[in-house]
Amino acid sequence: MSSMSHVYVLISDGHEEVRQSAELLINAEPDLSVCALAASGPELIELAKRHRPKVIAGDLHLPDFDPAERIRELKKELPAAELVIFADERTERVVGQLFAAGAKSLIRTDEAPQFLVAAIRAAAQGKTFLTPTVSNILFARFLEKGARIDQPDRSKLTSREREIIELICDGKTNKAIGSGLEISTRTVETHRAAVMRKVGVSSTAHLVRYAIRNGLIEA
Amino acid sequence: MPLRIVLADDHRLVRAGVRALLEKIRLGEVIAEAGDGREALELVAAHQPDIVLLDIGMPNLNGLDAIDRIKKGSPETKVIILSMHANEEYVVRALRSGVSGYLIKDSAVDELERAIHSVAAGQTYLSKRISKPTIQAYLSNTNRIYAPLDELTPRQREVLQLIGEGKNTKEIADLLGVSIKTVEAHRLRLMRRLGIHDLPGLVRFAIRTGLVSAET
Repeated sequence: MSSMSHVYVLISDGHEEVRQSAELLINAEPDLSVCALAASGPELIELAKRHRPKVIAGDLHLPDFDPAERIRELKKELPAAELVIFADERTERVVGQLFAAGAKSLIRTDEAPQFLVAAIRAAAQGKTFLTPTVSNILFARFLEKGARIDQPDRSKLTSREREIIELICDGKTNKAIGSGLEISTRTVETHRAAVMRKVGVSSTAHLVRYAIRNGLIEA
Repeated sequence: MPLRIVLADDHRLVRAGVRALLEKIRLGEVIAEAGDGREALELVAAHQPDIVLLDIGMPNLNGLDAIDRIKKGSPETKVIILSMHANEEYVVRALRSGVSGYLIKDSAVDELERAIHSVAAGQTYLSKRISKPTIQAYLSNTNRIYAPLDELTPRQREVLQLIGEGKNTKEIADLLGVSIKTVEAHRLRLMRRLGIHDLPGLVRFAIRTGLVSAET
């Protein structure tokens, strides 16, 4: 497209291999170039201010809790940059919020070989790009709950809930947790179920994985 | 004739990147792509490629535990590990299993071409980022490294990986084509061997030792 000027892209992702692969793909396009690679949130800000990229692509180091809030912060701090987010199951759950916060595209990394380049070109022109996966999610939610797709589905964990997660991860039984906290086993069971619902996991093993991923415990 | 290459990595983005790189250096042709260790076994056995580029951290069956079985199913295929990690335990385990090359992903852009050349010529290629004296010391039996995962049989490691990924007993049984009872027996034995007696402990151990990642 000769009408489009050259687009500089900052790749900002926590995974080295994702950064490397995205760089190879983007640099293979004549109208796109990677200007810098950032491996962390602070690096993203620093490099974006130095290179002033048109598009920033990657997981953008979004936190599990309220990733949309982080997008709003980024848009405030770097108003000229358009954001293309590499999604996972966690960010997909809040896709509506992310778009509302100002993201231009949400792409699973396994779809990136197909769609990344198109999403970046669209973002560079200020346009939204929807992959089929994201369109399906949005449409399903739309059918489910009308237009309320930007509704948050998780709130912050309370300190009691975090405490219970830690004890579960230490391998403690409900009974042991109950006597440690001086509450009934039944109450522990209720807490446990509530915590799992809140963080969106369906088994103890996944709860442990969640806790490690989010720094609640060390492996 | 171009080299026939199978590419095994759980990230499609990585596979696309490596494929783009291979096309640029024109050394071979990617004839199939696998997204996990089990798929890699099947595709290598089916295609008998010259080279398989194998990631370590893959779901269902990790690259390190796939090497032996790949070599069994396709003895002529050369294995090049394409890893995130230069850690010695992995390198030593890979070399003991008979790999022909070991590359670190972030230097793959610079080294892949040379690695493929060397391996195709029957040599072993280790990334420049790996300390060769250290590896040699480890490979000689006088200086064995302590690797807790070595306490387990390959089958037990396989089961532990699947537990660490959050799969339940039924899912593991289906994946391995064995009964639930058999999986339970494996789990009991590996718990005894590791001295870990609860599920959260197993998941944490699998993540701590790098057998699985806490990321999805």
